[in-house]
Amino acid sequence: MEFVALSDFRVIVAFWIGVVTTIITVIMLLEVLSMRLALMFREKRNRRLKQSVLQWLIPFIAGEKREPPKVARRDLSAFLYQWIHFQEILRGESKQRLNEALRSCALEEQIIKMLRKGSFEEKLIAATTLGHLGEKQAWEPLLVLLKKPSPLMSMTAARALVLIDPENAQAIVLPLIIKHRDWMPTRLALMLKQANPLFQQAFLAQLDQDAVETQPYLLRLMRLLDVENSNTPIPLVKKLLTSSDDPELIASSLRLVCHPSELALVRGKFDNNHWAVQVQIAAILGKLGKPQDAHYLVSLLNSEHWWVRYRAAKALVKLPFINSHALKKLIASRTDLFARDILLQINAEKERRCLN
Amino acid sequence: MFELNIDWPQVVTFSEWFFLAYFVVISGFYLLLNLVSIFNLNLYMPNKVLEGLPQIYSGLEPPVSILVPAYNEQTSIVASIQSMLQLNYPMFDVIIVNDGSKDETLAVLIKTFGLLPFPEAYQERLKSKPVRGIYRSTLHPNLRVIDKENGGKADALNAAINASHYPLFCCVDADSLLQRNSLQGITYPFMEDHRVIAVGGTVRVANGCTIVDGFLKKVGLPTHLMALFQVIEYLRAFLFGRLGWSVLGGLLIISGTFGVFRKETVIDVGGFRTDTVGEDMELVVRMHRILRKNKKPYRMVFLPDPVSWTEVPEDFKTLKNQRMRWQRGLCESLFGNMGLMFSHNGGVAGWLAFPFMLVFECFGPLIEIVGYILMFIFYWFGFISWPVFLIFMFAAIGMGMLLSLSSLLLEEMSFHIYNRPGQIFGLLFAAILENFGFRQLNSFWRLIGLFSWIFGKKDGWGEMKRKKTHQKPAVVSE
Repeated sequence: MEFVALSDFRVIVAFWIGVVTTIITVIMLLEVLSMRLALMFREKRNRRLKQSVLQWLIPFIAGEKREPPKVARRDLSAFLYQWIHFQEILRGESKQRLNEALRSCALEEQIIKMLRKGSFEEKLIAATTLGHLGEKQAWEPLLVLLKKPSPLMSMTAARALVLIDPENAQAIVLPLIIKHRDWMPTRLALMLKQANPLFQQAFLAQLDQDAVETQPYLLRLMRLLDVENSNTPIPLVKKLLTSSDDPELIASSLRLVCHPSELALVRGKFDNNHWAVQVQIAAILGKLGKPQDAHYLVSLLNSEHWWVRYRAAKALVKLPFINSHALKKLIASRTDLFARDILLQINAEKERRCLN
Repeated sequence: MFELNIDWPQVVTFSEWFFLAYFVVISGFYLLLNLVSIFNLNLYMPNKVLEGLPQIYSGLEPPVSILVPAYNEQTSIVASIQSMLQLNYPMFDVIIVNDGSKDETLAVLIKTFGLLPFPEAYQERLKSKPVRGIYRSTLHPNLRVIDKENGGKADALNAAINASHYPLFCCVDADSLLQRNSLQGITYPFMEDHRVIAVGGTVRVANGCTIVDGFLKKVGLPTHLMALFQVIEYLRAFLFGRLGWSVLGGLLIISGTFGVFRKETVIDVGGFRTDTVGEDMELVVRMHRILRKNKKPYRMVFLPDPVSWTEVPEDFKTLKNQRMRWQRGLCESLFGNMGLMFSHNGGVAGWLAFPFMLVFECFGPLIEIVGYILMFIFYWFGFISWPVFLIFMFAAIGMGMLLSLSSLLLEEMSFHIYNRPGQIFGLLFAAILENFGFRQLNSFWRLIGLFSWIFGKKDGWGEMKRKKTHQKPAVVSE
């Protein structure tokens, strides 16, 4: 009673599906094994290389010059990676010694060749190396990489240019920071942190100059300024606080307020109801506030946003005339549950800090 | 009398074509996802080359609240929390929610972390069961514990969201272990693109690994065959399933074991639903549905390298319960958000991912199991011969093996975490062997899950029997 013969079309289809999938499976299996074999050899070579690099580099940093290890072309990127690792963690004189060590290997030409013709990873490693090394010959190929579509590649090239020659890099890199919206803010912030003060000042000036044209994009750049930790008023902040209506932009500008002379500008924003603006105002008043700001801070205690209430309560307890007794009185006088709860929390935090 | 007149040759022909087509389409689609993942990993991996270098914080990393719902976790919670407190990230806090545990979870936490009650201004933005108390650690300023009445995992997460103060939150299971740099990796997309509202990380199997003091010291493979099969399953699910869907823009699952969400978006859509067992998937599908309906731009992303490690079941009963729960969660998530399917602004999520999940993941086990059973019946009644039966099995199992091997290939091309030679042979062995019984058993459990959803059976926290054989006590230094 069999309805299906081996010669039926669907059986043949099923058979060939089985055969083809089995063949592809076997090919994949062999591929996995060959990749693993290659990985094992590569890791073994890298381990040996790492050991020889450490044996040479650590004494070199300590001032004891030794014969550099011989680096084969295929090991160059692994070798440079080890060197960059030290560059990223060391500071001051040790960085110079690292540069000396690498220069003693006379690999500059090979690294520049890698920068021009290497794979994507090799180019990243070469650009980072040449940046740390301050290799002027790398300028032209780095300019080529700066135009690459990959944000990581263009940013790595920009960072290298800034490290090699900050003065000449200004004119090239600063407009790109404004233009490249795909550059990671964290990497940009690090680039600015590591750049010399001249470059940082030029960056501020560029922002000030381009403030109007780059308005929608400015928010992100304002966040970069945030890490500069300046203690002097930034003219751009005044400009934005007086001209902008965008609450997020105002909040970002308020984050950069750092001087009592800017308090009038801050008070000018008391009528802004956006929570992000209110949080920043409360935070500023916590640092720079005067007794006359207490009324505004008390009004923020009723906000529906936790951070507004928290920052306002924190700012209030920092005001000179709000001692424990005054705080308890303030808590008792609050009819709003939100306001009372947040003041109780701040009071408990204060007491716990005293206990600690 | 009514006479059933069945044209058996037609039934056999139709069934064989149908099941063959089902296996070809599902395997073909997964292979396509695999190719998309390979392409994406080839673009992604070179970008990682400089990430192994020492990282300096820029100060712009968004602060994150790590939410840890806990129910009867007295044995595992301390190690997990200790690992979380040592994460490499500039600003984060850990919020544990003791969801009315019946064991000593709260007592263990109070003792270990020096907790004291604290009058925190707790605002109930999402409904949850009453909070009994809030504690702060005297040893770790960034550790808080919410003690509340039992309401289930989703309810505990909602309470934790209420208590969190940062713009992002990360859901982590109380028995999971995060890698030190996991948080740093998983928050990148939020910094790159303000439209990103959720990011999922990879979950890997901790069984067989050596964990000391809450941290993974050595990657190993489980010796138990069932756990070994699950290593392959997790690779398949995360490396090419989710990565592929993420690239296509149709990611419908972000694991509750390790996922980061933008808090305000989650609150806007109503938080975690407490009447489902698959609260993580349900939230993601609901966010797709609501945001697409409201035409709000958003992105949900999966990243293959921020890793969380979790212990998988090694006994049939626990694994069966887990798979049944997952299947019910899947059904609830899809049927609770049917509005997404083929919706006007549905995009890849509504027009491709949702129907695929519905046909191949939700009803897939039914088709698969019925297919196997029919083949047996046809053979038993002599409708097909033994060689024909074997040929159909050969095709079905061959496609399964192809998918398992392709996930291993992806792993080998990218992270090769299992780096000892013996481990790769172990994985190859598991990738082949799991297709002879384990996958079919899994489909059967999922089918029971489908039926239990249809017939409306509900349970609370999915309790799991844990062995913790991979965890070593902390090494006490003198």
